[in-house]
Amino acid sequence: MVKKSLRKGERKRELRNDESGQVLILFSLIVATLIASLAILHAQNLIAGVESSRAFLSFPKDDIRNLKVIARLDFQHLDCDAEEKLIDQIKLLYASKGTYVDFETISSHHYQLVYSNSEVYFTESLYVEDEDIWLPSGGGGGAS
Amino acid sequence: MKVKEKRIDEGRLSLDMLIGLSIFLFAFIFIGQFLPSVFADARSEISVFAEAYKVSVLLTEDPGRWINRANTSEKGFHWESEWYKDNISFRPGLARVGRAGFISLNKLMEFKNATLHYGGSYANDTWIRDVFGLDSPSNSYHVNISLLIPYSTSYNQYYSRNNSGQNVLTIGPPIPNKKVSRYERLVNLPVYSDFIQHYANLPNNVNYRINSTFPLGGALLIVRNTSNIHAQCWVEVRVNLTNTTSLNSTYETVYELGDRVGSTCDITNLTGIYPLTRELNEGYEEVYENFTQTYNELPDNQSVVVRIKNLNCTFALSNVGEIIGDLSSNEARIVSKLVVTVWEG
Amino acid sequence: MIRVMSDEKGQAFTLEGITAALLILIVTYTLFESSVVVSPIWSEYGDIQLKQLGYDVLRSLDVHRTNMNLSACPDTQNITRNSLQYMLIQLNTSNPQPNQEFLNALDMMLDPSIKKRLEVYWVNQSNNNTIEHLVLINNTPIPDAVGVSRIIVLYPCDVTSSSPFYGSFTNDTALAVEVRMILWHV
Repeated sequence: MVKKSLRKGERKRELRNDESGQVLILFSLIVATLIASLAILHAQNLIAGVESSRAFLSFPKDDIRNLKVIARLDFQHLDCDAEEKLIDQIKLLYASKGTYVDFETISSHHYQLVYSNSEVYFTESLYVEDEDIWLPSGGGGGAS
Repeated sequence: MKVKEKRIDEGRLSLDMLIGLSIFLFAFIFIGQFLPSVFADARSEISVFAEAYKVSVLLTEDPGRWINRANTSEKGFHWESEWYKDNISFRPGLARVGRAGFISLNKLMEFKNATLHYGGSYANDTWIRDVFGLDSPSNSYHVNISLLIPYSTSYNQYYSRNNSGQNVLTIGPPIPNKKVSRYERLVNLPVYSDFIQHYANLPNNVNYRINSTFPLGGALLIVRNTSNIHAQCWVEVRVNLTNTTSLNSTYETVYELGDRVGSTCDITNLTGIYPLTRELNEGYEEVYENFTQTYNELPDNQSVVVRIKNLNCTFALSNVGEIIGDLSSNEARIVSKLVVTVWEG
Repeated sequence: MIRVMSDEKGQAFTLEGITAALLILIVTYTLFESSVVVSPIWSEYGDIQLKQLGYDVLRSLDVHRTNMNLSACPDTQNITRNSLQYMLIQLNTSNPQPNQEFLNALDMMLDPSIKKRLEVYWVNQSNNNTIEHLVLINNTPIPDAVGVSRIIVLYPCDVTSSSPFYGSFTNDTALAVEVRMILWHV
């Protein structure tokens, strides 16, 4: 027995000199990088696949329908002045959310609904008296 | 001496190498096995989810379309009265024209008829898959479309049933016990007599008993007026459970309205439309527990008892959905859950 | 000397094996848990479902009075108590709380695992058109929450002097009240 143990510095040096095991770490590094890059590619692929569902988040279909129902069912209870004031309130409420909304009066019972924010610009012609206000424009055909 | 030590040294080396390598390989193989299955799961679920969303939107927000192939100027939204004729192409949708979320009764009935006509039974989803574009060369899906009462949760489902006890809408094969994509919508059905289990204008003094099945979709009490404001007036609603063989019976009062002590009727504060769905369904659970614990048997008759003193009321129960609005007004509706479930297979 | 050295070499190899295994495991774990790869898509899915459900709930609870008699207001007797209209009309300035029938309907339509916050916004027409608001159900949402809203029109005869909307009407106008609901899964 030459020595009971190595001094601290010598032991460290011995570990440092032993390099053969590091190929394992190197290999695992390569594998890890591969997994990471594949996962990111895959994620982008997934995002592309759900475009139709994501569109729902940005297109305000329910807000617009709400506005159409108000025009159809509430405007009839109001005179011109009150209607004007109601539209102003709706404008203000939407403005606080960064959206421009307007019912431009074209003639009596005929409005142009405008809905515009950073993502969507939407207008629709509304005939409040006419049942056809409910029809999606351009796709209807006959009454039946 | 030196040679011997070297031999020992080499032996140990290979053993340690083996341990180190096997730990590494073990982790590596584990990840290798685990990774594809995780991605495959996510991929199938995400694509299936989009399909379920699409079907639910086409059904609940769109009135559908039809066109006459022989004369393409004949077209429109009311496919329900055209689909069975010659030369007609159509895509179904259940919404009333221009009112997304509100279901047209005729469209609903014809949607069921068309499923029967093309598939032979409600459990056959071939036609549904075809008409909503769920069949593609690379994927095959199955779809189940069902109407549930709002009391249902994702783990506890109760079908909407009409007065004859049949499911209002259940189309497609039964939902399998594996990963599925479930998309839930709330739809507004018209107040159709077959959807209201009981609808009665109750006179001044009555003890009215309605056999019903729990949980209820909806319950509504409308207090209209009184015949004598100088007398007590009240309403009491009970849930009553009976075993018709042993004649054991238990009841509990789940709702009370009005004053049973005084001698006047405060009609202005009592008039109104009161939904009682939650009170009745929760009351039923309590009474059921009491009954089974007291008598050690199961009740086979469930009923709602309405006791009315000096008030004119309307009472309605539905096993289809929650009743919202005075049933006589045209904005009244029955709200149900339309659940579209899609899975790969 | 040699014995000790061989021991340490052995340890070094095992150590590297463990390090390599840990490295792969950690990288994979971080990827799956990280927001870069999978989680935004999942939360967006939940969002789409929840947001649509929220709009559906508000639409179902919005019961217009089609044949309204403006001279017979306030009309609380003919408005169903599980509607948005009744909930807004019965609000009291001193303690604005939604009525129990409305809350029952809301709870029934949304799964028990969904938490909600309810606010109303409106324009005070007699105070220089400032936007006022009230919190009706006060829960603190998590960052993943979604918001839905619907505008309900109230008429002057609907509200009494105890209503928080009372002072916001000018003569004979209608009031647009935005009901905002914030939903999230727990």
